[in-house]
Amino acid sequence: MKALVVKDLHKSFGNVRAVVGFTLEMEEGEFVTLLGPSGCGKTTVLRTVAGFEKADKGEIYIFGKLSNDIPPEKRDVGMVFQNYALFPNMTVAQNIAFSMMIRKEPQDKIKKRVGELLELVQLSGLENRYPHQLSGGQMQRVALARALAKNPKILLLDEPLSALDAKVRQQLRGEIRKLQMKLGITTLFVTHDQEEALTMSDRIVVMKDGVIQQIGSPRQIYDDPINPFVAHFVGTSSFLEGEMLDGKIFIWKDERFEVRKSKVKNGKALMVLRPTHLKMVKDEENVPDGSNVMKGRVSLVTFLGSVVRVHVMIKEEEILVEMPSEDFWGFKEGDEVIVYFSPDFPLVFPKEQNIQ
Amino acid sequence: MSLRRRERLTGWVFALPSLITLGAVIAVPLGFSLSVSFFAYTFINPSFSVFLGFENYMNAFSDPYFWNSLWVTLKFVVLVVSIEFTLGFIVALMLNRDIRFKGVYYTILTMPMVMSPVAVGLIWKMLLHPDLGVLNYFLGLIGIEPINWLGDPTMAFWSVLMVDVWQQISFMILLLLAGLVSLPKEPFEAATIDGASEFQKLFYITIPLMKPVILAAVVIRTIFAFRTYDLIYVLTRGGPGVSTDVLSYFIYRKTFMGLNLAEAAATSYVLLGVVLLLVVFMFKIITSERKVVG
Repeated sequence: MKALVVKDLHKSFGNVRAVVGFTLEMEEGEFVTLLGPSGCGKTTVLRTVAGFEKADKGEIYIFGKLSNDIPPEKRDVGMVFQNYALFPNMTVAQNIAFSMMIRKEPQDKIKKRVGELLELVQLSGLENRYPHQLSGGQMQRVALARALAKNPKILLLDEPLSALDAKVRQQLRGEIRKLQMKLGITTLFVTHDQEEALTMSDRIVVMKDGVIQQIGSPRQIYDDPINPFVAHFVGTSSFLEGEMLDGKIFIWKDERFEVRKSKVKNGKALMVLRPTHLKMVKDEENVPDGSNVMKGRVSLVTFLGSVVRVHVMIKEEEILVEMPSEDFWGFKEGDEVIVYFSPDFPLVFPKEQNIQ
Repeated sequence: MSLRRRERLTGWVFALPSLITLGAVIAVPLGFSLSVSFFAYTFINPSFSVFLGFENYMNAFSDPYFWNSLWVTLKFVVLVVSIEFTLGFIVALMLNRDIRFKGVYYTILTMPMVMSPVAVGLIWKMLLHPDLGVLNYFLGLIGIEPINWLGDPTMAFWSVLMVDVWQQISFMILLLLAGLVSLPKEPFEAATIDGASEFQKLFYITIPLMKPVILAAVVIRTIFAFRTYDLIYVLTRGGPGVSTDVLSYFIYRKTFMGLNLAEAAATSYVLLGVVLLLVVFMFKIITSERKVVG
């Protein structure tokens, strides 16, 4: 049985169409991320699954049960909010125990479960602290424990990491994913951060203006974006506007590139180049046969830690090239360079598809 | 001149006008009345020639009418504030949802608040008139004997109370509503998912989160309620007998009818002391609450 099925979901707020024809099926234990810019409808989908918003049209099935008219508390979902949403007047233990206390479960059972959950989120010993005595990361762990307390079948995470510092965010990212795999809990995660989406998910749903653009594994989304928007939103890319000839040759300014993956046969087209797909050398003799070659001048070199990103001006356009730091051997601003790429890499889309 | 000193000087220059004004209208009268309360200072002999020490205070404390007024005042303040808070909170909760005609309700609510208490008093005096009042007329229609709203010693207290609640409750409602509107909505959604009922949400989330606002509203209303004077003046003049003779009206009588300025000043200071004690006590609660709420 599918853990979650959302079928042709529509939702408008006044004149704003927040979600249009959203359809998604999730397997049990799967981690799916809704990714998109703010206002793309991802949070609305999550809130509709939680039961806080009512669908205008479409169905939501949670473990086979049609849930459109089931109130949030009876949907068997747990939710973590962006701003923690802890109860400030209650201790950590009381926060986590809230749902069990509401259901009037016996004290010793509650105590035991709170202990387990605290251990799970690595907060043992902090049960008597109040939320304001915790760091952001700790608060979000408490929120996670609280959401898990009633053993929900589906965990909903609404940008849970957005309010945290970069360091804590990265750490918690890994922890949430490990925890999710350990518990095997079906998880729907909302974020606008492509890095979070790529690192945590089994599958990613990329959304724009309420419409699903692409559903796929992180690898698929990154390597094989379905349109320029996805290519632009996930990962870094350079875009070249040109013309396709016979589905094989891309003409950009006076350059001709051979390409193998084009969605256009003839006519105006947009080529997407990932910085990692491009290589850079000083002399043409080092370029492998069959590569597409461009000449340019280095305009900026930025060191990003594990990689070095080089901005190269080619025919008045800036193209990004990335290489592992250990392979970088000292290009500097002003150097004349040769940039080349294999015909297998670039994707070519029809020009009318916008990247924004 | 160092930058620090110059900054400090600029600060003083900006603060000076309001400090002078505040000094003139608050500090000077306060100091003057404090000194008056220790002397035999009357309208007939307005001088600081005879020092009485605490005699004026002793006189006030030995006056049974003073104790009556203190009791009436405390009764009035406690009842008015608790009724206004309870009703006000209920109305604020009702208004804090998606309902139609919100603007209309807000307008109606603001009206009593912007009216002068003297006008309110006069209007209610007419409405409550035993023979000509519209209230008794309607009661008559359903067969209830006319009630002497302001003439009966027991009834008068409750009538004044009711009019004050009628006028001041909007302040409470608007203040509490402003607090409710600004509450974050996520804790409520988190509680909803956890299966909390509306009542549980009210007790576990709304009230704890609202505590600072509630205390501020109650403190402000308490201070205002202690000062109630104009409504009493118009409606009952402290009567019948001394059944609505709140301290502020008692002080007025001592000053302008008894012409005993010194004893009135002493009584004023007692009132100030009572109010200050209450406010300090309430602020203690607020600040200790902040520590927990963060």
